[in-house]
Amino acid sequence: MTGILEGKYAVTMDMWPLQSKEFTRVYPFYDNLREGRFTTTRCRECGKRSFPPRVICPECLSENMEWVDLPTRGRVLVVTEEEVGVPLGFETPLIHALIDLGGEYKLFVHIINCKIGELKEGV
Amino acid sequence: MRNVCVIAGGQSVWGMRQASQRDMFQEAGKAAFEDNPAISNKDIDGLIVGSAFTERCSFQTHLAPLVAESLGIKPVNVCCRVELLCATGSSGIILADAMIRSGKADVIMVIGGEKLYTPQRWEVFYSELGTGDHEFDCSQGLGLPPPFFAAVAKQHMKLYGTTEEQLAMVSVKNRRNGLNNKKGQYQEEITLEQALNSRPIVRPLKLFDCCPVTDGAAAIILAAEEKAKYLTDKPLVYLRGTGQATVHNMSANMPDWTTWEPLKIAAQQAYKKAGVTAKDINVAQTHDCFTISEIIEYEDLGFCEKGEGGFFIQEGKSDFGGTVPVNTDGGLLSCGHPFGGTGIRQGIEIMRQLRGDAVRQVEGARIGLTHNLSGLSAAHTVLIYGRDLE
Repeated sequence: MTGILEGKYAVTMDMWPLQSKEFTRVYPFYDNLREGRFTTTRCRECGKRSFPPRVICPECLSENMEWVDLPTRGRVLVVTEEEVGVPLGFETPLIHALIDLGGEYKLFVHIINCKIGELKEGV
Repeated sequence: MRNVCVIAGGQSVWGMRQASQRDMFQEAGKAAFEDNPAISNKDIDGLIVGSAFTERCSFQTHLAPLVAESLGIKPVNVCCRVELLCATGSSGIILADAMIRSGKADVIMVIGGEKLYTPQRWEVFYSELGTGDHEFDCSQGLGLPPPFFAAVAKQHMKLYGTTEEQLAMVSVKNRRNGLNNKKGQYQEEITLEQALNSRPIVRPLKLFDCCPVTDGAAAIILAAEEKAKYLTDKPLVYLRGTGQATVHNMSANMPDWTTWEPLKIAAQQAYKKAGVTAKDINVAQTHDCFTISEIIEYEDLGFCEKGEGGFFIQEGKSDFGGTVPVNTDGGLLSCGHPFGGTGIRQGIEIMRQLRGDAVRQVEGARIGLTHNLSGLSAAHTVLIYGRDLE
């Protein structure tokens, strides 16, 4: 079945970059990230800090938002290591960890430059 | 407000199919009409179609008119598509219920399914990167759900002492329940040993802890009570209560990883509308996308105390003869999971259980429940069916 498709099947990834000024209003998140800052938006009206960053506050719907830094160190709560079925564009093993950033947010993120068994829970 | 009944249902063969999405929708629709020969395509005045990956995997939008045309249905009150990933089918049923109850339609077919196997095996894995928050979760490689549910399982095991054996027991039970389900993806029993020794996907989840990728479709027909009495000789099955809740989407905003708040809310809504409690449920089809899911669902649906889900399966309380038999047709673990079809397959099994003509019958079942979770446990949908109105 795949024979007739040889060389003809298009691989459709994201059709345009989602992280650029032309395509998203939260592009400062990516600009900050490139500068080594992990940031999100905080509402100047109600004080709500949201993640992911927003152009409108999901709490009070104000558009008066500012960029604030998030902690870059946290405690590792859970580690998972995907050994089979890793999606295209990611390497096997695909390692994730649930990181507690000091109580307000727990982010489940992709861990890079790490081998199976290397990252320990509780660190 | 009128009462709503489920009067017919059927599905295509589910599995790795050499068939298009449209072929399988035709098979499912025909099976629903064959389930109750008193009803024909001319009786249907509304059509709600469900599919999550129709654009990506079948390059087809505007799906409802295509399905209507291929089943000879000419809807006059509603003809559209709904989508809520794994709870797409149940979402269609909720909307059909509301339309019939309010008098906006009399007889609606809800039909859902997916074509997920494409010539490139990685395709569906890649497409799943569009199911969470694409920019903030999926960019981390979180789309296919095993890493998320493995993290859920690890925390549940740590907090409540749930064991890998208890997880495996869910899979063994559901595979056994699916043994004689001719249209399911698998008709093979597995042993506890096989489940425990299967290859790791994301530890502690192993191959048999995870539901498969599935092609397939299912269709169910709902009607106003007075129409139902005219259209069918089979025992009437009422849709008595529905609930659908979400409190977050991306993993960072998950309020609790081991107690699923939106599931508890959806269940309470459905119980309240149906005028029943968890104790009244005689049979349930819950969303066993992973074995750990079914264990948490026992708890958050109120079938047992929080943290005791592992013991609930271990003591046979979710099996035939137990407190509430769960996933009597095999569930997602045995039938497979073509997203848009699953909630409908669950509704069909409950309809059969309450009519008394299920393949594996729970004797005397009068009240049944279905539950879907969707996304990274971000939305939950609960429906309650009954043989009686009160």
